Amino acid sequence: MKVDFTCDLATLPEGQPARIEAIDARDLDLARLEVMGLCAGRTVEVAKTGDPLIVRVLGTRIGLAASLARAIRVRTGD
Amino acid sequence: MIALIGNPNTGKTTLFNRLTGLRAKTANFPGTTLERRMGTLIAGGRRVDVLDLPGLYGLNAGSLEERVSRDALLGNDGHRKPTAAIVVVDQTHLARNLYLVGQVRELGVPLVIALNMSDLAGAEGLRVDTATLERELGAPVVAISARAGTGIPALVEALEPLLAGTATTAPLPPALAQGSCSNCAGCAHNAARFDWAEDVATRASEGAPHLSARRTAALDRVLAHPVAGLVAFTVVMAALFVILFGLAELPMGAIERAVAAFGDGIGARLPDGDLRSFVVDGVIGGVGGVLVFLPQICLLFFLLSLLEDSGYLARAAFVMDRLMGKVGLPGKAFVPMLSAHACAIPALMSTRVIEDRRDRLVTILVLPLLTCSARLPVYAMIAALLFAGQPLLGGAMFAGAYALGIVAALTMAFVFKRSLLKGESQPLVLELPTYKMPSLRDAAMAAFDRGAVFLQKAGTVILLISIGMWALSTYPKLSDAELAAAMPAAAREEAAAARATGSAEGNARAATLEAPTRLEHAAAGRVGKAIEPLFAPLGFDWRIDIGVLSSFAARETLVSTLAVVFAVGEDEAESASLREALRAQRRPDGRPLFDTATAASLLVFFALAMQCLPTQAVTRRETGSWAFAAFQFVYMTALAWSAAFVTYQGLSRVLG
Repeated sequence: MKVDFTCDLATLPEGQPARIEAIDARDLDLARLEVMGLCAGRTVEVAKTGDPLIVRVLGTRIGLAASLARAIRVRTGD
Repeated sequence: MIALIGNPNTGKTTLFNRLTGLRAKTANFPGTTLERRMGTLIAGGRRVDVLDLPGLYGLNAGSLEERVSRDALLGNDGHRKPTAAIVVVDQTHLARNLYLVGQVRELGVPLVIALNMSDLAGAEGLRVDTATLERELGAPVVAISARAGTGIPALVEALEPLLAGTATTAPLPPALAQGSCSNCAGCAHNAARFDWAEDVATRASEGAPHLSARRTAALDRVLAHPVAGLVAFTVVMAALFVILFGLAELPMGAIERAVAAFGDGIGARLPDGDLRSFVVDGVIGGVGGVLVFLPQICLLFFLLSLLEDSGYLARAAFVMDRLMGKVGLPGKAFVPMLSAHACAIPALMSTRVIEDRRDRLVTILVLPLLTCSARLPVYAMIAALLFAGQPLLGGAMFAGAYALGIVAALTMAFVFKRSLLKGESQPLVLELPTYKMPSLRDAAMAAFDRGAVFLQKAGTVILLISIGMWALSTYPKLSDAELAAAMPAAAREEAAAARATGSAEGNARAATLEAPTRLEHAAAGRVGKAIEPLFAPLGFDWRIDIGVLSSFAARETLVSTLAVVFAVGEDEAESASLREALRAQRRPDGRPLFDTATAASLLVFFALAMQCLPTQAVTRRETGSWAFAAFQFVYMTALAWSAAFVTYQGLSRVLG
């Protein structure tokens, strides 16, 4: 049985889609993330783990520092 | 005027080039160092200006680019308000691109959508319905392929009613009309815009670019891999370097020869005297000094454009981010640092890819520490002095000099990021675009454009500097009687004997013998003597000081100046005769002038000192302030002096 869970984007398994719930970062970083589509409500997926990691959002691949990925809380399932 | 706006990697530059051809002019947005490109196109029989705005993802005013673009679109702050905007949209990434479309719509600027990458979408079986999009966006949508050049006339035609003011403005889509805000990080309206963009994209398109997505994912498994990616990066950068040095060599040699031949030709038609010297050595030599940089600059930007267009450059920044992060710089700073090994000027021009102002300033400050090619003739001279006939040791010395530059640059970057330009380094957020075949046409345009900017901005400065240096080493002039009195007896007699032969060779030999005395009494020589106490702790005497001074126009000038100072004909400057002349020089106390300690100290000084006024002029242009150029000069000179001091004093004690 599939279990929905909440975690941060750095620990989300590869290929598992999840929805961004909240981001806890400095305003400047928040703005840089948001304009790329990394903000509450969007669906993301990790394409490649590591530091930096690659995430997919709005159909594009984004290289992301793990320190920022840890600040992004996501929830799987709808 | 029309504004051209779009996300990065959407082919906006390609479209701009298609629309305006080679008629673009590059300047800065007023009060910023942000580049502003303007061109013209013909629409409905009228010439219309086209303003190329920076590539950006949104207009949230989070970055300088976003703020300036928003002001430019609204006509705020002294910007000319555009009549209409073309928003370039990559239809293979529709949802992401529509976010920006939504924001432009909210500003109320009449717009046309250029739905780009039609060829790619067609090949992937992706279908975007323009009628649905037009209805949802309330603006005309024209499918184009900027790369293949299709759909451009239809796009221009769609602009005409907007330019004539006869177009009707559709009401804002309800999802966007909830209330505009300029800086709404985290606010609900922004989430609504993304929802709207995703919703419209889903309804307007059928299929997805699976093929290119799979290819990109496969390539990234290697190129973005923490180990394999670094290996690939090393290979790509080494190849870049080999091409840059290998290919630029030919045109550079040709330019030097052509300028020399031109100077000789003009010189032969002018009477001997100040005018000839000014035209040949000052002006033509100065123009040559400008032109000789062009091949490397154009080639570098050509190659960088290809790498960027292919999508690789973003991966290079991605794999370098952690390593560069150790000194507090972003991964993107690596490309300028690599380019600086050719010449600091194009490297400074390419720091614009670094988003954060502090990171960019730190990179600019340390770039001239890296071993540019103008230092190589100096190193070659020193290697010949120290290690003649010992190629292995000579090679080791070169490697050491390169290493010294790299270590100094990284160390200073680390220091600046923790002191002067303190700030946390910006954690990486970077789009990794889909890999694609780069456009040769755009790369050629980029090379042309950068070359033109260099000639305009740096070229005039370089020319002025070389004329200034010519004047300093020519005036004040000695009369014949003063010259004869000032020359050492042996040289005076030899020169008189040579001149008495009446032959051209005899006259040239006499001029060579007179040159050191002339230079000694010109402004450059007087300054050299005046600053001798300053450089004496480094082992330099006033004659080397003249060389050091002259190298502020360009470092390699040291070699030709020393050839003049030590009465070696300029043509022989690169041959063994200069080495022998340098070896034969003695200090007043009889010790050789160029002993190991002095030669090593000279090497260290040239590796670290800021001796390039053209670079300083570009630093000012790129930072917008002379203060940064002045600071760069002061810290590098202080660093070079201290390191050379330690080298000279240390080696003279050890070697006794």
